[in-house]
Amino acid sequence: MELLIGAILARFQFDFRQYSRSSLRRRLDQALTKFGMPTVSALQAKVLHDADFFPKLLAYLTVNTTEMFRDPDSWSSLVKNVFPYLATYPSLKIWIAGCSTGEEIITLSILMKEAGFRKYVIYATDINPMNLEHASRAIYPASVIPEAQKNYLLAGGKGTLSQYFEGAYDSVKFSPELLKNVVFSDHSLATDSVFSEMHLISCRNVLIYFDRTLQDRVFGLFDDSLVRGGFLTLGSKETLNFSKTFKNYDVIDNFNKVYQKK
Amino acid sequence: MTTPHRAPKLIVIGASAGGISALHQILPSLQNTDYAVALVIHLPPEGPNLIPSLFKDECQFSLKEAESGEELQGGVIYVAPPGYHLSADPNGTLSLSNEEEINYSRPSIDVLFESASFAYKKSCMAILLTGANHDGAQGLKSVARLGGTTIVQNPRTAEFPMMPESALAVMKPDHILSLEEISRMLRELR
Repeated sequence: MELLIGAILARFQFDFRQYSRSSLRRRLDQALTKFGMPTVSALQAKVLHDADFFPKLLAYLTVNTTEMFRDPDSWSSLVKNVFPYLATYPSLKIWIAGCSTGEEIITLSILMKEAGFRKYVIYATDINPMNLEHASRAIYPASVIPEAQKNYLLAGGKGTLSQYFEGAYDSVKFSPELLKNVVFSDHSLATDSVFSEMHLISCRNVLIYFDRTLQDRVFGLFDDSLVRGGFLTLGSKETLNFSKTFKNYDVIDNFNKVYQKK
Repeated sequence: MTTPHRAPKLIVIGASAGGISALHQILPSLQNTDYAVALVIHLPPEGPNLIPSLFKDECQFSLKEAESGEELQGGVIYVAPPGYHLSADPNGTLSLSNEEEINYSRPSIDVLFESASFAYKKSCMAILLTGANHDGAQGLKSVARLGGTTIVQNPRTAEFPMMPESALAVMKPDHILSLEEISRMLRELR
């Protein structure tokens, strides 16, 4: 596995050295099955010799499972504790770091729309360009809707989720309106640098796949990217508490991982 | 892979239906703090994790919910949070994951056992207890293959025998034990 990681770093400058090994092992096992390869060495050989292969492999190396309005309490905390502050700015810059296939973007866009926000830009980034493409289409399986609708309401949704999408056969397409204020960009939290002057950064269930060193790098990046008074929100099992940057923040909601830069 | 510190040896335990009462019997027997313990018990995903508070008064080991990136310490039982997979990494830390359910479970016992087998090899001990599904069988196979010690609760004495039985259908563990025998073994660990 280490040789493959080294090869990917050398050839494509994607740095997986500080990702959780147990998680990467599982992802590689899935990739081996999917691509019908016997060993990680075979995978490595293909990565090095076949330029078209790496993007396909990349889709397997990162965990892309995500749901709309997941951890609805966390979203309602955002609406209750953070939105009132955000409303005081004439315009907003928001960064969703690790947006995966876009469910989180839809979630935040809907909540912001319902709260009446107009002047804002959401920078949605992910290490995998295929995820960004998927997110920009806003098409999802219809099977996710019942759970999403339930969580939309728990998060404080004011209407009904069906206002925001149209269905056809097994899929639903969310309104392009929701992506009007979104800028997609590929970005690696392991290697790339800051997005400046952000008022809100949301990074959920991405850091759990990183070791502590990489988590620290990312927290440093976020700290440099946030305006004073800006907010950071993490996944429900992640925490800022062990980071060197923790002293720069007030804890707004410890349970739901909402922090404000002092 | 370099280990930054001397990680304790690891015992991984998996339980499902009937697990709480089984754990009441065996967890208090953990004495040797050269070991760390990681535990997956199938619970509803949205609920709070009550496991640490349920057992803390009767155990010598301390209990806590596992945190992402946490370094394993001897004498501690790390419990998987509801809704997340728990894995042991080769650098002596634990990690959490939101990957899909495995065997309809998240946390999955297979995920914990398999990761522990790679990270700890011969220093890994895996114990599979009562349950009403098939989780853990493949994980136990991996532990055995990589030289670890495997223990399955005797299906005849398990409240829900299905999980132990599915393991026995695919592998031969080092020991098939009743809860009392597991307790004795844990008390006598060197």
